[in-house]
Amino acid sequence: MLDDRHSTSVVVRFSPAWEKIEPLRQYVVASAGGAGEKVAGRVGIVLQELLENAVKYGDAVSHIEVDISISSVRKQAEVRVANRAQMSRIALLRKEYEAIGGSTETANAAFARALQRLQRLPQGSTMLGLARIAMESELTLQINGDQVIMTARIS
Amino acid sequence: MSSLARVEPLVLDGVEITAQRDVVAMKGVLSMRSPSETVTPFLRRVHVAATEAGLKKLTVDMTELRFMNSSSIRSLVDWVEWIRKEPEARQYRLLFVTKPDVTWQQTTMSAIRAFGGEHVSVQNGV
Repeated sequence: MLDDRHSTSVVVRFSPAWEKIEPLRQYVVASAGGAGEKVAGRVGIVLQELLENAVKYGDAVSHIEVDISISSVRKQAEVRVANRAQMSRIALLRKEYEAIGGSTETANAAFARALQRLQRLPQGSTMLGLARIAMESELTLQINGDQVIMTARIS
Repeated sequence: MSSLARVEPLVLDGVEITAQRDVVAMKGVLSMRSPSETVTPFLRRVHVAATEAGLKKLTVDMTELRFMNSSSIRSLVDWVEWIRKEPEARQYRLLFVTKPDVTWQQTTMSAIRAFGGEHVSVQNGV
C-alpha cells in the first residue's frame, strides 16, 4: 500500500452482497476527495467494478477483503480487493487480464473490443469490468489457487 | 402530445430516467445488478417512440447522472445497436450531454462515441 504519512486508509471486510457496494463506493469517493476530483472519480470506478466482479464471480460465502489507501499529497490511490473466486471463473479471468495488456492504450483497445462483442454475449453478461478498471488504473492480478487479489494503482 | 411523452418515467432506488419531447434525462446512480430487466426495456420503449415519431436526434442528458456501472453501459450499447438495425430512414442520432468534471463520463462516453460512430455524439454540458 502507499507509504505516506498523509495517506488515508480504508480497510473493509464484508460478506459478498450487491447492496453493500454502492454505500462503500460513496464513502470511499468522499474520503478520496483530498487527492483531487480526478483521482477520487477513478477510485470510485475501480472500486465499483472490482467489487461487482468479486460479488458476481466470487465464492458466495467467503468474505471480500478491501484495502484502500489514498495519498492527498501525492494525488495517488491504491485499491486492493481479495476474495475467493469460483474455480470455473479463474481461467476466464486470467484470459481477460492478459487481453488487457499492460498500458492505457491496450486497455482502451480492450474496452473497445469488449463493446463490440457485447451483442454476442447473453443478457446480463458484459465482460467490460476489467477493461474499464485498466482504463483508469494500473491493474495487477495475482491468483493463488482460488484466491484472487486485484490491485489497482491510480494516479 | 410530444414525441416521448407517452413513455412513463423509470423511477428506481437511486435513479430516475425521464423522457420528454426529444430529451431523455438520467439522474442519480445506475449501479443495479441487472439493468437488463429495467433500464434496457425502458430504453427500448424510448427507442420505439423515437422511431415512430420520426426523430432524427435524441438528446440524453447525463449531467446529473453520478455513476454508471459496466452492466448499465451494456444498456446504452444495446440502444445504439437497435438504431443501427433500423432502416436508414428511421435511424436517429444520440447526443449524450456529459459533465466535464465527472471522470467516468469522460472516459466511458468517449469509448461509446467511438463505438457508435455516426449514431453517437458526446457534448460537454455545464
